[in-house]
Amino acid sequence: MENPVPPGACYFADGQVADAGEILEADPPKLLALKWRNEFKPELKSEGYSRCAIEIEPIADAVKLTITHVMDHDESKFIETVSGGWPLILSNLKSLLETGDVVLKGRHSPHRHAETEIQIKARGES
Amino acid sequence: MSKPSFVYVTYIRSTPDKVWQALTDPAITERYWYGFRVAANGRAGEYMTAIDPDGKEVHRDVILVSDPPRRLAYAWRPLYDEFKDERPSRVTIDIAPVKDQVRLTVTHDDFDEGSVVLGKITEGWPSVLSSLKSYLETGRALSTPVWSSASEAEVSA
Repeated sequence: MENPVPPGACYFADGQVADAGEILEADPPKLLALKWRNEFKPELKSEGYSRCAIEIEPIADAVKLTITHVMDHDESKFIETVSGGWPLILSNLKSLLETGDVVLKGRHSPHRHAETEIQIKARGES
Repeated sequence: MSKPSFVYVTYIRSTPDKVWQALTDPAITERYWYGFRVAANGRAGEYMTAIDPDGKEVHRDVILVSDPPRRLAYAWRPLYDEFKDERPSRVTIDIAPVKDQVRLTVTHDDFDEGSVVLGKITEGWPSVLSSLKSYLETGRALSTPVWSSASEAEVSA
Protein backbone atom coordinates (compact mmCIF):
# COMPACT_ATOMS: atom_id res chain seq x y z
CA MET A 1 0.00 0.00 0.00
CA GLU A 2 1.23 3.46 -0.91
CA ASN A 3 0.28 5.18 2.33
CA PRO A 4 0.12 2.70 5.20
CA VAL A 5 -2.30 3.72 7.94
CA PRO A 6 -0.28 5.00 10.90
CA PRO A 7 -0.98 3.79 14.44
CA GLY A 8 -3.57 5.91 16.24
CA ALA A 9 -5.52 6.70 13.09
CA CYS A 10 -9.14 6.40 12.13
CA TYR A 11 -9.50 5.60 8.46
CA PHE A 12 -12.07 5.02 5.76
CA ALA A 13 -12.69 1.64 4.16
CA ASP A 14 -10.62 2.69 1.14
CA GLY A 15 -7.60 3.29 3.37
CA GLN A 16 -7.74 7.09 3.38
CA VAL A 17 -6.88 8.43 6.82
CA ALA A 18 -9.75 10.47 8.27
CA ASP A 19 -8.35 11.42 11.66
CA ALA A 20 -5.11 10.80 13.52
CA GLY A 21 -3.61 11.55 16.88
CA GLU A 22 -2.33 9.78 19.93
CA ILE A 23 -3.56 8.32 23.16
CA LEU A 24 -2.85 10.70 26.02
CA GLU A 25 -4.40 8.66 28.79
CA ALA A 26 -6.05 5.25 28.99
CA ASP A 27 -7.62 3.93 32.16
CA PRO A 28 -9.90 1.06 31.09
CA PRO A 29 -12.84 1.01 31.43
CA LYS A 30 -13.19 4.51 32.85
CA LEU A 31 -11.25 7.04 30.79
CA LEU A 32 -9.71 7.49 27.38
CA ALA A 33 -8.11 10.80 26.42
CA LEU A 34 -6.99 11.44 22.86
CA LYS A 35 -5.09 14.01 20.89
CA TRP A 36 -7.06 14.28 17.67
CA ARG A 37 -6.63 15.97 14.30
CA ASN A 38 -8.67 15.73 11.15
CA GLU A 39 -6.43 14.60 8.27
CA PHE A 40 -8.55 14.71 5.14
CA LYS A 41 -10.03 18.19 5.06
CA PRO A 42 -7.36 20.91 4.80
CA GLU A 43 -9.48 23.57 6.50
CA LEU A 44 -9.99 21.28 9.51
CA LYS A 45 -6.43 19.92 9.56
CA SER A 46 -5.07 23.46 9.67
CA GLU A 47 -6.79 24.02 13.03
CA GLY A 48 -4.34 21.60 14.59
CA TYR A 49 -4.93 19.10 17.37
CA SER A 50 -8.06 18.91 19.47
CA ARG A 51 -8.39 16.98 22.70
CA CYS A 52 -11.11 14.41 23.29
CA ALA A 53 -11.93 12.85 26.65
CA ILE A 54 -14.21 9.82 26.83
CA GLU A 55 -15.50 9.03 30.31
CA ILE A 56 -17.46 5.91 31.26
CA GLU A 57 -19.27 5.75 34.58
CA PRO A 58 -21.75 3.15 35.89
CA ILE A 59 -25.16 4.54 36.98
CA ALA A 60 -27.21 1.74 38.58
CA ASP A 61 -27.61 -0.87 35.79
CA ALA A 62 -26.74 1.59 33.00
CA VAL A 63 -23.66 3.51 31.91
CA LYS A 64 -23.16 7.25 31.68
CA LEU A 65 -20.93 8.04 28.71
CA THR A 66 -19.50 11.56 28.49
CA ILE A 67 -17.56 12.86 25.49
CA THR A 68 -15.77 16.16 25.95
CA HIS A 69 -14.14 17.36 22.75
CA VAL A 70 -12.32 20.68 22.92
CA MET A 71 -10.13 22.86 20.75
CA ASP A 72 -7.97 25.54 22.36
CA HIS A 73 -9.42 28.34 20.22
CA ASP A 74 -12.94 29.70 19.71
CA GLU A 75 -14.96 29.64 16.48
CA SER A 76 -13.67 26.20 15.51
CA LYS A 77 -15.02 24.65 12.32
CA PHE A 78 -13.59 21.35 13.55
CA ILE A 79 -15.67 21.47 16.75
CA GLU A 80 -18.74 22.44 14.71
CA THR A 81 -18.16 19.39 12.51
CA VAL A 82 -17.67 16.88 15.32
CA SER A 83 -20.69 18.37 17.11
CA GLY A 84 -22.73 17.08 14.18
CA GLY A 85 -20.89 13.77 14.00
CA TRP A 86 -20.81 12.64 17.62
CA PRO A 87 -24.61 12.43 18.09
CA LEU A 88 -24.82 10.16 15.03
CA ILE A 89 -22.05 7.89 16.28
CA LEU A 90 -23.19 7.81 19.91
CA SER A 91 -26.82 7.17 18.92
CA ASN A 92 -25.63 4.23 16.82
CA LEU A 93 -23.43 2.98 19.67
CA LYS A 94 -26.32 3.04 22.14
CA SER A 95 -28.64 1.23 19.73
CA LEU A 96 -25.96 -1.33 18.85
CA LEU A 97 -25.28 -2.13 22.51
CA GLU A 98 -28.95 -2.27 23.48
CA THR A 99 -30.54 -3.87 20.40
CA GLY A 100 -27.70 -5.38 18.38
CA ASP A 101 -28.43 -3.05 15.46
CA VAL A 102 -27.58 0.55 14.58
CA VAL A 103 -29.99 3.43 13.91
CA LEU A 104 -28.40 5.00 10.85
CA LYS A 105 -26.77 2.60 8.48
CA GLY A 106 -24.18 3.39 5.86
CA ARG A 107 -20.53 2.72 5.32
CA HIS A 108 -18.21 5.42 6.51
CA SER A 109 -16.76 7.26 3.53
CA PRO A 110 -15.82 10.81 2.64
CA HIS A 111 -19.19 11.01 0.90
CA ARG A 112 -20.97 10.03 4.09
CA HIS A 113 -18.97 12.61 6.01
CA ALA A 114 -20.09 15.26 3.57
CA GLU A 115 -23.67 14.23 4.23
CA THR A 116 -23.13 14.79 7.95
CA GLU A 117 -21.91 18.29 7.28
CA ILE A 118 -24.96 19.07 5.20
CA GLN A 119 -27.10 18.12 8.18
CA ILE A 120 -25.21 20.53 10.40
CA LYS A 121 -25.55 23.31 7.90
CA ALA A 122 -29.26 22.70 7.60
CA ARG A 123 -29.64 22.90 11.35
CA GLY A 124 -27.67 26.12 11.54
CA GLU A 125 -29.93 27.74 8.98
CA SER A 126 -33.20 26.69 10.55
CA MET B 1 -20.18 36.02 24.24
CA SER B 2 -23.19 33.76 23.72
CA LYS B 3 -25.63 33.22 26.57
CA PRO B 4 -25.44 29.90 28.41
CA SER B 5 -27.56 27.14 26.91
CA PHE B 6 -27.87 23.37 26.61
CA VAL B 7 -28.28 21.40 23.36
CA TYR B 8 -28.71 17.64 23.07
CA VAL B 9 -29.09 15.75 19.79
CA THR B 10 -29.98 12.08 19.55
CA TYR B 11 -31.13 9.77 16.75
CA ILE B 12 -33.91 7.30 17.50
CA ARG B 13 -35.24 4.38 15.52
CA SER B 14 -38.87 5.52 15.63
CA THR B 15 -41.34 7.86 13.91
CA PRO B 16 -41.95 11.58 14.57
CA ASP B 17 -45.50 10.78 15.77
CA LYS B 18 -44.27 8.24 18.32
CA VAL B 19 -41.54 10.57 19.59
CA TRP B 20 -44.05 13.42 19.87
CA GLN B 21 -46.51 11.27 21.78
CA ALA B 22 -43.75 9.98 24.07
CA LEU B 23 -42.79 13.55 25.00
CA THR B 24 -46.29 14.88 25.58
CA ASP B 25 -48.51 12.04 26.91
CA PRO B 26 -48.19 11.56 30.70
CA ALA B 27 -49.16 7.88 30.46
CA ILE B 28 -46.02 7.33 28.35
CA THR B 29 -43.61 9.72 30.05
CA GLU B 30 -44.34 7.89 33.31
CA ARG B 31 -42.71 4.77 31.82
CA TYR B 32 -39.34 6.28 30.87
CA TRP B 33 -39.17 9.70 32.64
CA TYR B 34 -38.51 7.88 35.92
CA GLY B 35 -42.13 8.01 37.08
CA PHE B 36 -42.78 11.64 36.18
CA ARG B 37 -46.09 12.35 34.43
CA VAL B 38 -45.46 15.14 31.91
CA ALA B 39 -48.51 16.46 30.05
CA ALA B 40 -47.54 18.73 27.16
CA ASN B 41 -50.28 17.90 24.65
CA GLY B 42 -52.02 21.25 24.84
CA ARG B 43 -51.88 24.16 22.43
CA ALA B 44 -49.73 27.26 22.67
CA GLY B 45 -50.92 29.35 25.61
CA GLU B 46 -52.07 26.29 27.54
CA TYR B 47 -49.96 24.58 30.21
CA MET B 48 -47.35 21.87 30.35
CA THR B 49 -47.62 20.16 33.72
CA ALA B 50 -45.39 17.62 35.40
CA ILE B 51 -46.28 15.44 38.39
CA ASP B 52 -43.46 13.73 40.28
CA PRO B 53 -43.59 10.04 41.31
CA ASP B 54 -45.04 11.07 44.70
CA GLY B 55 -47.94 12.91 43.05
CA LYS B 56 -46.63 16.41 43.65
CA GLU B 57 -46.96 18.97 40.86
CA VAL B 58 -43.43 20.13 39.97
CA HIS B 59 -44.16 22.08 36.76
CA ARG B 60 -46.95 24.31 35.52
CA ASP B 61 -45.38 26.11 32.60
CA VAL B 62 -46.89 27.79 29.57
CA ILE B 63 -46.59 26.08 26.17
CA LEU B 64 -44.98 28.53 23.73
CA VAL B 65 -45.12 26.52 20.48
CA SER B 66 -47.03 23.35 19.65
CA ASP B 67 -46.60 22.11 16.08
CA PRO B 68 -47.07 18.33 16.20
CA PRO B 69 -45.07 16.28 15.41
CA ARG B 70 -42.28 18.73 14.63
CA ARG B 71 -41.73 21.41 17.25
CA LEU B 72 -42.71 21.89 20.86
CA ALA B 73 -41.54 24.73 23.08
CA TYR B 74 -42.44 25.55 26.65
CA ALA B 75 -41.27 27.75 29.47
CA TRP B 76 -39.43 25.90 32.23
CA ARG B 77 -39.42 26.77 35.88
CA PRO B 78 -39.44 23.86 38.34
CA LEU B 79 -41.72 24.52 41.33
CA TYR B 80 -39.07 23.57 43.87
CA ASP B 81 -38.06 26.09 46.53
CA GLU B 82 -34.40 26.06 45.47
CA PHE B 83 -35.33 27.51 42.05
CA LYS B 84 -38.00 29.99 43.12
CA ASP B 85 -35.77 33.01 42.57
CA GLU B 86 -34.99 32.15 38.92
CA ARG B 87 -37.16 33.35 36.08
CA PRO B 88 -38.44 30.72 33.61
CA SER B 89 -36.02 29.41 30.98
CA ARG B 90 -37.13 27.93 27.64
CA VAL B 91 -37.20 24.38 26.24
CA THR B 92 -37.46 23.85 22.47
CA ILE B 93 -37.87 20.32 21.14
CA ASP B 94 -37.35 19.67 17.41
CA ILE B 95 -38.31 16.36 15.84
CA ALA B 96 -37.08 15.74 12.29
CA PRO B 97 -37.24 12.64 10.12
CA VAL B 98 -33.79 11.58 8.84
CA LYS B 99 -34.17 8.79 6.31
CA ASP B 100 -36.40 6.35 8.18
CA GLN B 101 -35.26 7.51 11.63
CA VAL B 102 -35.82 10.53 13.84
CA ARG B 103 -33.40 13.23 14.92
CA LEU B 104 -34.47 14.68 18.25
CA THR B 105 -32.94 18.00 19.30
CA VAL B 106 -33.60 19.46 22.74
CA THR B 107 -32.45 23.06 23.16
CA HIS B 108 -32.76 24.53 26.63
CA ASP B 109 -31.82 28.20 26.77
CA ASP B 110 -32.71 31.70 27.95
CA PHE B 111 -30.83 31.26 31.23
CA ASP B 112 -29.27 34.04 33.24
CA GLU B 113 -25.55 33.82 34.06
CA GLY B 114 -24.96 31.58 37.08
CA SER B 115 -28.26 29.73 36.74
CA VAL B 116 -28.60 26.77 39.15
CA VAL B 117 -31.32 25.28 36.95
CA LEU B 118 -28.89 25.09 33.99
CA GLY B 119 -26.57 22.83 36.00
CA LYS B 120 -29.45 20.55 36.97
CA ILE B 121 -30.93 20.23 33.50
CA THR B 122 -27.49 19.60 31.95
CA GLU B 123 -27.37 16.46 34.11
CA GLY B 124 -31.07 15.69 33.81
CA TRP B 125 -31.87 15.86 30.08
CA PRO B 126 -29.30 13.24 28.97
CA SER B 127 -30.69 10.88 31.60
CA VAL B 128 -34.28 11.42 30.41
CA LEU B 129 -33.50 11.37 26.67
CA SER B 130 -31.31 8.26 26.92
CA SER B 131 -34.16 6.52 28.70
CA LEU B 132 -36.59 7.73 26.01
CA LYS B 133 -34.41 6.28 23.24
CA SER B 134 -34.09 2.96 25.07
CA TYR B 135 -37.84 2.86 25.70
CA LEU B 136 -38.79 3.57 22.08
CA GLU B 137 -36.24 1.16 20.59
CA THR B 138 -36.38 -1.73 23.06
CA GLY B 139 -39.58 -1.26 25.09
CA ARG B 140 -37.44 -1.00 28.22
CA ALA B 141 -36.53 2.30 29.83
CA LEU B 142 -33.52 2.95 32.04
CA SER B 143 -34.15 2.24 35.72
CA THR B 144 -32.38 5.02 37.54
CA PRO B 145 -32.06 8.72 36.82
CA VAL B 146 -28.65 10.30 37.29
CA TRP B 147 -30.10 12.71 39.86
CA SER B 148 -31.04 9.91 42.27
CA SER B 149 -28.28 7.39 41.58
CA ALA B 150 -26.29 8.42 44.66
CA SER B 151 -29.19 7.90 47.05
CA GLU B 152 -30.18 4.67 45.25
CA ALA B 153 -26.68 3.33 45.74
CA GLU B 154 -26.85 4.14 49.44
CA VAL B 155 -30.19 2.37 49.78
CA SER B 156 -28.97 -0.77 48.02
CA ALA B 157 -25.64 -0.84 49.87
